Amino acid sequence: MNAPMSLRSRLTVLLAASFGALLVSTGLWLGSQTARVLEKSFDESLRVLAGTVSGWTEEEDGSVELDDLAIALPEFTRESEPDYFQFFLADGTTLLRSPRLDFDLPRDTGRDDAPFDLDHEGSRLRCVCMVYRPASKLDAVEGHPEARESAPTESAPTTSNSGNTAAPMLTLIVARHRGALDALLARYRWIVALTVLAGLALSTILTSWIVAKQLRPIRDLGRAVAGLDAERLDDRIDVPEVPAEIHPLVVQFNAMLDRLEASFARERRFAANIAHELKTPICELRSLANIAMKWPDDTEAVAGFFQDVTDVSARMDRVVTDLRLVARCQAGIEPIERQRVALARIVENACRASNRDAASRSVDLRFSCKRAAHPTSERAFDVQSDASKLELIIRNLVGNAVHHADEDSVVDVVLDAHEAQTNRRIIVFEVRNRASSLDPADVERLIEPFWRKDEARSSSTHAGLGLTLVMELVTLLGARLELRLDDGDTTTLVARLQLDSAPVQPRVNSRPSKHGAIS
Amino acid sequence: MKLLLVEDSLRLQRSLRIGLERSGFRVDVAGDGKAALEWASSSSYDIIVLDLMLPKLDGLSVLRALRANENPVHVLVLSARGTPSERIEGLQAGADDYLAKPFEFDELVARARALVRRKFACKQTVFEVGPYRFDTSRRTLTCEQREIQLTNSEFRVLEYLLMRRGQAVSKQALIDHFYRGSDRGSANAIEVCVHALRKKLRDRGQGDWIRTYRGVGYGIDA
Repeated sequence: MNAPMSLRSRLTVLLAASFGALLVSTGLWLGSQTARVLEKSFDESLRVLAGTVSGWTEEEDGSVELDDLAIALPEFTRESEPDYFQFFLADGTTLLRSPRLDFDLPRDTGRDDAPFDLDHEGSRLRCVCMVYRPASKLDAVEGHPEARESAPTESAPTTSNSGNTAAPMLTLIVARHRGALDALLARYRWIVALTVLAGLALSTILTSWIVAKQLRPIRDLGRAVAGLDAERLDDRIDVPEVPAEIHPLVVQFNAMLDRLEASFARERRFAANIAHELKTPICELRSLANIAMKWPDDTEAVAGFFQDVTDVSARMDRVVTDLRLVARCQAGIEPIERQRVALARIVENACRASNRDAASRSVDLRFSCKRAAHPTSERAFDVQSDASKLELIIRNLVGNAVHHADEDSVVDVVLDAHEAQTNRRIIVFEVRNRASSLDPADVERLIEPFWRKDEARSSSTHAGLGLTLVMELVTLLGARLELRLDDGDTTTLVARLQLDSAPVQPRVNSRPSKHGAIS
Repeated sequence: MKLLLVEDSLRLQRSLRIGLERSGFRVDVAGDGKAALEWASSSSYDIIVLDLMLPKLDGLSVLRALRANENPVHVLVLSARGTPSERIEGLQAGADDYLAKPFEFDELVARARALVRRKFACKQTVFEVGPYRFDTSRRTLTCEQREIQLTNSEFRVLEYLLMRRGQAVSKQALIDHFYRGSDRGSANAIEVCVHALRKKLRDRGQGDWIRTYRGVGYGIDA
């Protein structure tokens, strides 16, 4: 597939073509206008000459006399390209012609005073025709006013028969070689054409340069983007350098890089954490196998090792199962079986299950169910949800709180409900535990897979996937989980789960929109 | 040899303890960094096998604290952090050797023995006294190519005395090195062990070369 034309090439071609069209049309217009002016000027001078020549004809006693001076004019006598004239009488006979005219000029041109071109033996002549009645010689001498009236004028050469009706009508054709004019016009057209061509070339070069210069920020942006890879995601594009038009693009791009960098960092941490998480049980298995093989006769020790191998593989199985569940939730393929669930009972069971861990860590686990606020209903804390998933969420939240709470501290588990609308309640499940080792920045990472504040992975029951799984399940069930750190006298981690006691819904297999939140 | 194993994984603790004891070490176990420092300051160890990621106090901090207290004990770091930079960091913090997890148990024992030899400035792994040949790596004692069966305690006493060849080793030093803090042995137990060892040596008809320093302890002449 051909690569698409670059923006720079497109702009250059379009702008150069526009400039070219403008230059060509301007050149054509300028050429035609100039040619017209030059021809007009040429014709004007020809008319003036015709007027001059006609002024030298006089009428005397019904015949026409011509001043000899006219014939002697250098325009008509020169060797090279002389001017011509020819007088015709009304009957078409030639009265007189210029000395170097050796052919007949056309008398009946059919054009009324309009200059016309004549080809003769390879030469082009420009001709002008004048039909007039010559002035009387007597009147001209005495200055009779009638003479002036009858004199030919440029404006009305064919209507000069108002006074001297005895004088015959003359037709004067004056011709001039137009070679010089044509050469001038040709040279001028060449100049215009060359100027247009030069303009085109210059405009193309300038357009290309200007476009390249103006598009440089985009090219730089492209280079900067091309220079980015997974190892250099901390690079950013310098925003003040870019033009205003692509400023929002760069800002968005930098923001996207921020997100990508955070995402890559999360992925790296995940990979490192999962590698580390698996390294410990692998090391345990290897060590158990090495030592059991070395002293197989120590049956008591080997039996213990086999028990350890069973425990380690069970733990690895739990990790893999949890990871698989997280993946299924994220892919939206984990089914939900909604039913009426007695949340209070689930919480009680979860607290009972964590009692042993709480006792071993001298943690006082307290559960308070604000049933007194809802004396009218035995089922004040019932919700329509997936029982097994809800149980997993509650057990993880309570278990984590107990396991990670400071030793000799209190873990408060509270279940509350308040009316939202008719027949609907908001159920709030809250766990509070003292966590003096946590920083505010840690709260955001609590749901990261395998993240632990303490890097030592000595716990055989908590792999660091609990809250990741909880958040995915909460999202899947359309509930809301808030994790926050309360800085009072002691640093307390609060996990607040909010559930809507919605009416029964049909089985849903698709993933709902994300409602999980961290604050 | 007296070894402190600092490891937070209970299963690794159990298996390594059994394996190391079977390999001739007397093993104490600490499950976190603070306990490790307490053990190291209250008793004299030939070697510490130290995990880095520990609860309460991480391994590098333990290592730095040991060196800050001028504790000369040889430390073998055992860690899941195995990149070159992490190894360098561990060695620069004062470790004498570094072994990345997962590891071969035999390699751990070989490295631990190498550190013990370094401690006693002894490059040998085989000691020869007259016709007797004591191989510390194979854990065998032979006389004219015939093996003499030794118990674990007898092996450890003999190895300890051979490492300090030419020195008098007090009974108290032997008790410290062969009994755990919670399982303190008596001088009588040491005497019984040495007596049994001497009897096995004498049975070969090559004489007894374990010397008794009256009122002090035992030794083997250089």
